Amino acid sequence: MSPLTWIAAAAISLLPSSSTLVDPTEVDFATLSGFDFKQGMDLPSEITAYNGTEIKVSGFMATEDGSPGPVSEFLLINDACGCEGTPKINEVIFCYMADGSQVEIDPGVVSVTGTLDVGEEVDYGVVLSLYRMEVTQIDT
Amino acid sequence: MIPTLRPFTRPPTRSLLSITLAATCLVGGAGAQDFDKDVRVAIDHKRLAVRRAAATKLAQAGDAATAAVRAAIEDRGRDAMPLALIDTLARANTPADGPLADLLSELAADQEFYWRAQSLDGLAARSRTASLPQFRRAVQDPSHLMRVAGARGLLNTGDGATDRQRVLDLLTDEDPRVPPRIGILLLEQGDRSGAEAVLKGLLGFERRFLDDPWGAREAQRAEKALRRIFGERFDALFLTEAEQLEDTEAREAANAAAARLTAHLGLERRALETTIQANESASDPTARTVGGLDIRSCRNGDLFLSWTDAGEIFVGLDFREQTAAPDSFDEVSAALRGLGDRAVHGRVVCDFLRVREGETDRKAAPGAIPEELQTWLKRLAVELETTDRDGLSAALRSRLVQFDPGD
Repeated sequence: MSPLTWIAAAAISLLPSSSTLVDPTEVDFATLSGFDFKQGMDLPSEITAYNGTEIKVSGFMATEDGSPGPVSEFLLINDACGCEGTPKINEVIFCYMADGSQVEIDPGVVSVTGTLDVGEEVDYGVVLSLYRMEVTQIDT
Repeated sequence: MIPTLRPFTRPPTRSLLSITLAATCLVGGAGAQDFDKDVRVAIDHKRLAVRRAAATKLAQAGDAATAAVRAAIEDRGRDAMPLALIDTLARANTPADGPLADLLSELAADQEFYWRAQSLDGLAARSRTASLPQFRRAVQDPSHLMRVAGARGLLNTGDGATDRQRVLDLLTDEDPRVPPRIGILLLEQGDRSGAEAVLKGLLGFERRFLDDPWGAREAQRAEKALRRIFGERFDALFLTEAEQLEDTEAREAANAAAARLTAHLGLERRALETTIQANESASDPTARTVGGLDIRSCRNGDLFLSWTDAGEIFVGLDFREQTAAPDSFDEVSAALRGLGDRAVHGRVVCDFLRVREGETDRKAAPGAIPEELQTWLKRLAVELETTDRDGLSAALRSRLVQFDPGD
């Protein structure tokens, strides 16, 4: 892929889906975490455009305590190894299964489809999450 | 009972206990007793963000909170300390020679400690001259994160040309994640010696190992660093026709960023584009590999092996070395495929081992490798003894000892 193609692809990936009735919009972590988050900030419009839309994003499943499951909620992160540093709040999607079913944590990259909820979830001044997803499908 | 993660989007159902913990521990005072509570929350709370918030409060208290952290380590052991706590403390704004820096120094010196690289990086950020010997040792460490943290320390505290050379040597480090990071450290100090390495990191965004898009992560790291150093529109450098940007302000910003970057790198813009195109033509055997082994070890360093069904074995995240597979390797490969199943074994905190081929995809924490996988790994180690690549089997065995201490 040429740099020009890369830039074009990145630009295209920023565009929200025109309809949630068609295929989910593919989003990547480079986009979701491509800005320096500060509590209370106005989120970039290309990020808020995803709010309430069906998206598909690839990443690694993890749990808050490292256990392998089964779980009905999990984190989707961009790095298999936790050694590189704690993921920032915009580098994590807090996922929960829409139907409440339980899934095993997968060892590899998965594609997760669901409805993304964007915005600060704040509790006593602490931002607990920025991205939450009601998951309808996990593909390995 | 700590609440589950259920109420991500349903505040009315959020557990009162979650709120109580957050309220009492994150809005409370700054006495020693409060620090004990904060440490408990930073270690035990179910929610990462709450753990991190408690850690931030401790970090803001700085040296005053160190005794509480130290007490928790003595009481529960270093392995109980989560990354969020150590990482946050490491980035705290405290003196280079205070109690917190002393604690980080102890943690960085413990080869068994998961977060020793973050601890060392905290000392590097503080320009702690007393840690210079640690920094010098670190640039030779098996862990790539330790080498980068050591380099940062040497750049901040090093003593002359020899220490600088130790850093520059890492621009040819065998781990492809290291040179771009060293290049960024140098660029941050106005030194363009590693600029090409940073560009390689930026342009290697399609690199993968097994299914892990590690190149994309490194590219984003490089991009963020370049954006930080050269301004928001540095990326327009790659828009050959930046002039075509419709918005005048954006066009001028893009051209200015491109000019700063090319001037800083000492390259004509056209030469830079040639470099980029040369990088693009580099190929890797990702598409040919059929299986692989991925070991992440903060203690012993990472090990990456992959193989094709045509008798090739590659070493390294970027397939840096190639050796011929022994004749009987097909059987080893088939045995891995025969294990089947996708599974995670044990609680993965930091270090892990992963094998993948065909329908088999297994990931295991130290001490949690199932018997059939242990048997296969031992067979692989034996098989690797017969390759031409010296030390490959020993490299695997040394890491397996960590993952299976009874071996």
